[in-house]
Amino acid sequence: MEKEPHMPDQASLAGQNDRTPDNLKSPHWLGFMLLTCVLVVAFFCGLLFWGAKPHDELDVTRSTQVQPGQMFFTEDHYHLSSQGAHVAEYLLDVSMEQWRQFPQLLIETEFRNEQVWAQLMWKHGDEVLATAPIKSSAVMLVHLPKSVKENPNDDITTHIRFGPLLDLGAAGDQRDFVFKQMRLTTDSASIRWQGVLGYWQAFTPLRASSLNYWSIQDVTPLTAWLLVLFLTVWLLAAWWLSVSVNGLAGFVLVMWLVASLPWAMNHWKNKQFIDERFQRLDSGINDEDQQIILFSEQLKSHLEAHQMADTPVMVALRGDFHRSRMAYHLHDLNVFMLSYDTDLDSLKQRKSVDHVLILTSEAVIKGCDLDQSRFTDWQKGEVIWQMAGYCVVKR
Amino acid sequence: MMVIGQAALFWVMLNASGHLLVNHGLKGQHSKRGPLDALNLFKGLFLLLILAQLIQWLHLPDELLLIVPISAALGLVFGFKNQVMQWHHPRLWVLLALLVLTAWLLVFGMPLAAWDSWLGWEMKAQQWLDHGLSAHIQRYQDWIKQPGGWVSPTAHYPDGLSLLFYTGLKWFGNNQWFAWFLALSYVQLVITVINHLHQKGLPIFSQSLAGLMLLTLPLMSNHIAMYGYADVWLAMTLLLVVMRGELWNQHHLLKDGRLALMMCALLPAFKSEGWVWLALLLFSHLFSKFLIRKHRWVLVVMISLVVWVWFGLDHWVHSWAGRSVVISQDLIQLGAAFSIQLVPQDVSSEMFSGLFLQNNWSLLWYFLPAVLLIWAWDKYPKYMQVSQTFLICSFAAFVVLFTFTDASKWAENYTAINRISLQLSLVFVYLFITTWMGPKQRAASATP
Repeated sequence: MEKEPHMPDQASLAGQNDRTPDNLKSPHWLGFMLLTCVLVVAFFCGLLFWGAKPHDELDVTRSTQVQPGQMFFTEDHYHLSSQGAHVAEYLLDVSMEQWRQFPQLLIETEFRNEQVWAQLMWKHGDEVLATAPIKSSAVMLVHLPKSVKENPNDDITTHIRFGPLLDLGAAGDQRDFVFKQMRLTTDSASIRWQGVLGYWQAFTPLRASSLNYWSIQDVTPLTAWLLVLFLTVWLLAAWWLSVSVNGLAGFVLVMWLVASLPWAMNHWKNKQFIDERFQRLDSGINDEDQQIILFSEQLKSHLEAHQMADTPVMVALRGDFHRSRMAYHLHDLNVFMLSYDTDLDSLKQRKSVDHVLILTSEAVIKGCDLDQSRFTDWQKGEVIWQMAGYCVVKR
Repeated sequence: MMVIGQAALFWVMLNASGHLLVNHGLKGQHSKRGPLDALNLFKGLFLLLILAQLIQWLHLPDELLLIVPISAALGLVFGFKNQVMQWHHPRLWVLLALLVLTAWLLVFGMPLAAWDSWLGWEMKAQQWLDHGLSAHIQRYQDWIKQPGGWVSPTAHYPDGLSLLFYTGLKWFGNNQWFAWFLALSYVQLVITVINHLHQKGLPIFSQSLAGLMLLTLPLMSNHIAMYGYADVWLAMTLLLVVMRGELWNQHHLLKDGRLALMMCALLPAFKSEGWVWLALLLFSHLFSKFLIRKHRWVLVVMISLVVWVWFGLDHWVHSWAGRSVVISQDLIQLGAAFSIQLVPQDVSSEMFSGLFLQNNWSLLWYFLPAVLLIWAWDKYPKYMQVSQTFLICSFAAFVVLFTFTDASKWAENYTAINRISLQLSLVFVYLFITTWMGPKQRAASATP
């Protein structure tokens, strides 16, 4: 038999031969198991009781400042209506004195906010001091940010903001922020336990950008520090006591599986969510993309018919999906993103072209009327083509 | 089904051409690695990217890319015969379990794609397709100064990933296959790691743990499902460099050295950070070679010294013979030879959030303190020290980059922090398993 080029060292060979949990009989193992139990109990005690305050709470379910029709009640849930807006914002009637006494907001939602994003925002006048995301979960805890807590001003206002999630450019049916109850609470052991349950049940939809793909579920800094402490002491003890590889790896494997459960559940829900909303089409990602493809093909034909295929096209659309997808489908033209401070005359002079084309939409210029545009430089141009809410400005 | 077939075809092509390159194109000891070794894939990738870059630089006809499928055909004829997987049953079960897990977690959730990938990597590939592989693609600020050319926001990025998209677009006419190709490649890498750990003598539980960790890192999984990011390719290449470099340091076979060098050459092909990892790999190698026994303590003392000087000295200046040495919070200067402006920012909360709070990496980085302490106390074979030193240096570089340079502004929305940790995470999984289950633990396992 030919010799293996990479033979394991002696220690490796020794480890390889030991595939059975015989080492469980070792006296080290008994001590180690005991230590593990103690550490687990210490971890959960620390998580629930370290620095905890006596329980107290203040119901703020109906403390949102709303006009008639903006908030309504169905079955057992309150709805804050977006009223068709891209972003809806409501003032939460909670003073800083109350926030300092009850530094956490507990929201019960029962998984009804999977198609909207929501956040709490703290403002001093018009200045935004901090924001905190409200994730979709049966029980969601939002902590008062440290910067707001330490801010000496008493006239800080709290706002609830939300809007539809635009996955791959498309919004779902639900646009309202739905909740069952909102309570300000102290940092008590029972609320911490509710937070643990909320963490396991939280759901965060995936969105099509690298920027939005993390923050699946947050853990609190206290949990993180306790976990670091637990694992460091536990692993060092295992190393110090020369506990064998098999049992240790098995323990970590189980621990890893447990830690991965919330993520796996989130992953599974996202699969269902994506399957429901984005049935893959033959030539595009979804209906929005289909429309962009259709428009881009017709634009290219139009430009070729008018001998303008070499003219630079600048995409000035609202939203990452529409901007990047339009540029992608127009790739065979000289296409790029328009920055609103681009000096168009200088661009034409430097590139020796008579015209540039600005591809924009009615969402940017109302009715494609250049006089309505807040970009005065564009007003020197003329709209040469208009279709499906898009407009092409020759400048 | 068509896109799965296209992905499989591309995957087999790169593996076969890589297999031919490894076993027949290069002289050296005959490899016993099976056809599932990810090195074959990355060799094929190396061949494809080198060829495409030559076509770009020398303005050669694009058709020269056909060399890759031709070499793949030769590889299939001469390379794979008599290669049979001879694995023990438990490992086969581990493999099957991992494949099921992968299918469930990664493959069935594929329809998403990333908008910034369309604008960057994929659009550049489309532009090459429209205007030729040698088309002059520039950033806007360069394009406006010169006649002609085409604009791309990623013109200054390395071309590796875009060239992969380009090849697929040219041959298959779409990019949808790429998601499946990436998933296949990643699973192949996981199998390679398991195989490598088996060769190192680690037991079945450790192999399973490594496989599970690699497949269930949340951010890695999301990036594979999105498929449009070069960071995943850089992370995979980096892990292969570390594993192959370890083998070369262990056995000093010329073939392993050449393979490690080939993988090193791939690092800057995907992202500019590849140059940094390459420089740190070289540094770690030299550092570990020169400081044989106590090198880890020297490293600990050096890092502690830097931290102490940073916090302890406010503005220290020493002038001698018309030259000044300055160590301060915003400037480090060694006469005329070296000078660097620092922009210190406290981004500790962002780093802490990215690594620990946001569940991007499951429990992975929680193991870091224990691994560092065990690494400092235990004695490891020489060949393991290089990769361990690399991880320490690269993590230190990661912290320095975001704390002391202008890069801190990218840390605010977690983008850059998560990208860099993504590039290092696979290496850390591997080193966690091998370092934690080091000589002391394995000796304990050997005791009846």
